[in-house]
Amino acid sequence: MTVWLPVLLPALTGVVTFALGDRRGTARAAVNLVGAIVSSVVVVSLVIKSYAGEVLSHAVPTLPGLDFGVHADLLGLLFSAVATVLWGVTLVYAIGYMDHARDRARFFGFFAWCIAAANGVALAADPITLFIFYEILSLTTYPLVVHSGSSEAIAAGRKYLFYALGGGAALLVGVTWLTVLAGPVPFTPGGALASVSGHTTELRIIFGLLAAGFGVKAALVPLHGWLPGAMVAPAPVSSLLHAVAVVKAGVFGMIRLVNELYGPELSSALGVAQALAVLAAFGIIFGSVVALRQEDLKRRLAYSTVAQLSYITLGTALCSPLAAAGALAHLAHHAVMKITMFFTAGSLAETLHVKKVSALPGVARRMPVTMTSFAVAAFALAGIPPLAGFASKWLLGVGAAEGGAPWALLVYVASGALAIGYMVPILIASLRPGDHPEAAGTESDPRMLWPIVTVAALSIIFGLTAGLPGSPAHWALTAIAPSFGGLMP
Amino acid sequence: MNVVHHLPALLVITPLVGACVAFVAGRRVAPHVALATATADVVLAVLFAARVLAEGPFRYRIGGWGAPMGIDLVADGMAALFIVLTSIVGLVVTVYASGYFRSTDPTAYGHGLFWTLWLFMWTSLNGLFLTGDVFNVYVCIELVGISAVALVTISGGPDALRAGMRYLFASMLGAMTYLLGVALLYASAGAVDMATLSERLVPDTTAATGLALMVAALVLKTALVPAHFWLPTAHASAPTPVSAALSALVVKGSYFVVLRLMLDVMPDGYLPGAATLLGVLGAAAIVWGSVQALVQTRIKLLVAYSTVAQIGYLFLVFPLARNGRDVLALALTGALVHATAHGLAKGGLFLAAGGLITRFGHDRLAEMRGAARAVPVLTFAVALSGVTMMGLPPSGGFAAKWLLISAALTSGEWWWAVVLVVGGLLAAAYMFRLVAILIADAPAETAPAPKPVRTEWLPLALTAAAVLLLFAVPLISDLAAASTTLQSAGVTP
Repeated sequence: MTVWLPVLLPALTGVVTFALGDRRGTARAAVNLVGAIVSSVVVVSLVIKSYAGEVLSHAVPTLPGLDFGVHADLLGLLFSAVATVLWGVTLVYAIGYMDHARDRARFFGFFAWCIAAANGVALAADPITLFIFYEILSLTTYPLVVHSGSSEAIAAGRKYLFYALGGGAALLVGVTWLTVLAGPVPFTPGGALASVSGHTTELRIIFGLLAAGFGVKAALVPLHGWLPGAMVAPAPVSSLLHAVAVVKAGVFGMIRLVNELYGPELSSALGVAQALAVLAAFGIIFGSVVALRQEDLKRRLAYSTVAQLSYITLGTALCSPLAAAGALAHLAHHAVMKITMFFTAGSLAETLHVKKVSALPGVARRMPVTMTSFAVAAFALAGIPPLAGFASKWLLGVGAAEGGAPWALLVYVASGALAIGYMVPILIASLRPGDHPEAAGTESDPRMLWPIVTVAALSIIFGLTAGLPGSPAHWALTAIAPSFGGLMP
Repeated sequence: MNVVHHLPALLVITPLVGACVAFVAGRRVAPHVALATATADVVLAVLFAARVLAEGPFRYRIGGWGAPMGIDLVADGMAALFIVLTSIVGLVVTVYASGYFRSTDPTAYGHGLFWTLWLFMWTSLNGLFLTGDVFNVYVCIELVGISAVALVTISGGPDALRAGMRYLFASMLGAMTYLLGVALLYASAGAVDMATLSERLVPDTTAATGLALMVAALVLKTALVPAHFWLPTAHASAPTPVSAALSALVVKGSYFVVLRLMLDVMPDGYLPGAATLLGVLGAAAIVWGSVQALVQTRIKLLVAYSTVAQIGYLFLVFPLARNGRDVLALALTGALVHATAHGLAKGGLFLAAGGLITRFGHDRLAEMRGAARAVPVLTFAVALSGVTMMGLPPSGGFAAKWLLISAALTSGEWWWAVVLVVGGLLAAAYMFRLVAILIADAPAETAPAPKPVRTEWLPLALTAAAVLLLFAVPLISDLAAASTTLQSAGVTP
């Protein structure tokens, strides 16, 4: 049962938060922080067990011949650990950010439920369980997107649902069809469809349905349309959900799909991996180019997310061990980098009411620590060594070359240049002299400042420790190795 | 005398005695009588289901006479499931009603009468689920219909009377047509007992016409498109607890008999095309009901049209059931899960809608903005019922949809899967239109003064049960396996 705790603890935290109601702010903060800390401890203990080779699993029987089960493998735990630990950090930020907001019980309650659902996606032992949590994640995110209740937010929420439920429907058909065709298919490193022979056309269509379903949350172009609109949500939602938990649930689904459901071999043999790779490569270039032209800070970050998520999809679709490991590592690395940037954007909007790139001059002088953190994350995202982004891009690049797809290497290099193109103007603009009347060096609320510094520091630490056991890069290599038939150098 | 042996009879007698006592007791004591009866019925229903699960289907001979002379009750898993569903929703509706009628003007409603009629309807429903012969079905369905019409008109308002007249017309037409069918069937086969009929029926015109008339009559009573004309107004203009009971339980009663007739009584290859026609009408109901729900401007009408749509899913079982016993088991279990999930969620949704109407003092959707802040528990209940209507996990609606899609894909009749997926998306469209209005920011000056809604946790309990129904599916699956349909098809539990 321990293996259910990463799902149950945040879910329980959400229930208690709702029960406490809107008035008891201190109790709510305490419950949520304790929930996040305990959940993180549980996840870390599962990671230690899993590194030692002990994979816990548990299933509850539901539908005939079909179990609702989770397992704590290294692959899933990486996503779970990222979501749970960053939930704790984001909570501190959110408590500061939402200080005067309304409906905070609703906000924090659904926030906790989103993490429960994300952990369910991470640990799901089979496609059906994953689908169930994937849909719960869609539903629990909706109230957060429309949190303000403004007509703009309601419209963004409608768009979000349109995409999410459409993707969910594709996923439902794909998963049911696959189960009818192959029986129960628990995730197995290297592929779970060995028993199916023939049916190549059906398998291709099912792969397409599943990839489309995951592609919606993974913001795979052309299914990305909801993400920029969803930026109307409060900053902590954009930070944790639309840079980490929700969008990563999509790419994580892709990783499970290619590596542990179809398996790299079958995916390449069917030709579906190559198709996915081309789509993802297009997404990288498209997202980066559109990001260049965005004047709104959060929208620029959102399009950058579109591009970076496609990095992960491309690495997965290349079906080479190093690229797949790089993709998984980038899941964690991009999380800490992008959450730093969204935290910063939220602080600028909340403290200085700066939302546009053109309004940035003077900001670096006013909030030097915040903007330094942003700069660290920006350089990490562009792949400057020895920061986190470099480690994953190195793996992705080497994997692309090894996997016989040098064109993908070109895409990665080009997008690195584009990332500099859309990030550096933000830094330059903020360094220009401007008029922010308050004394220089006055940062935002410390509850918002320290989380930013923490996640920025992680972008450095993940890069520096990339070779050591326990770092995301090493972890990703260990977790992805079984899908390719054993340990890698 | 062992109580356990007489459970089928007790399930009919208990609410009947309750109804009589409530009639005599007067308006102050009646709610307490109803609560006690409802609680007792829940206990009896659970015991009954446990016995069916343990022993499999059995027949209960009233007075020890036995068919064809006496009346036989058939106790199987399907009956047990509907009886348990009725008891749970019934208990919640009873608790809700005791608060609902206390807070309204005591002279405006036929107070004491409500409890009698309500328990009487419960009696007839339990009888309908247990009965083993087609003539008794007529008696029970007539009693359900009459008490339901009386309950719809109990407020005495002009809208309610108009809707009640229309409902009475549909109800009577259905009952008469059904009785005509029974007569033809008796003329052909010389029996009214379902088990005897399924052995004796030979494909002749008389019997075929009789069965066709009976199914058509039941389709009218279940409000399957295009025979749904009476449902939206009747369900929408009834007092809230009655709306909930009608939408959650009463339409399931006549549907239950369609299941018995089509799957148990009718031999294979009889009335070719009937199963397909019912499936096509079901698909039409899903689309038409959803589209109508999407354009309604009054909350209870929206919910009622959602019932029209959700009834459609129940009829997809018939075309699928012809594809061998594995597909039959999947499809029938799916339909039973759907009936259960819809019963819980729609009961909860109507109660929540009633709470919103009490809170705002009107039923106009467009003016219900800001409800999320004023009545968060009710809004949450509405949203949770939406999860089941859309068929999203982990709700019972999802489990049902999963089973039906599996049945469709296994049998190769993939077009029913398309209907199921499209239906889910249409349900999302109308449910989120409702939720978006409730969650929208209300302009401060139009925010109405708070009015206490004392029973707001009841709808939440029902809808939450529907959302978590996936975890009860093994139980429903066992009950389906203990139905006479699957037992005679040779499906082992």
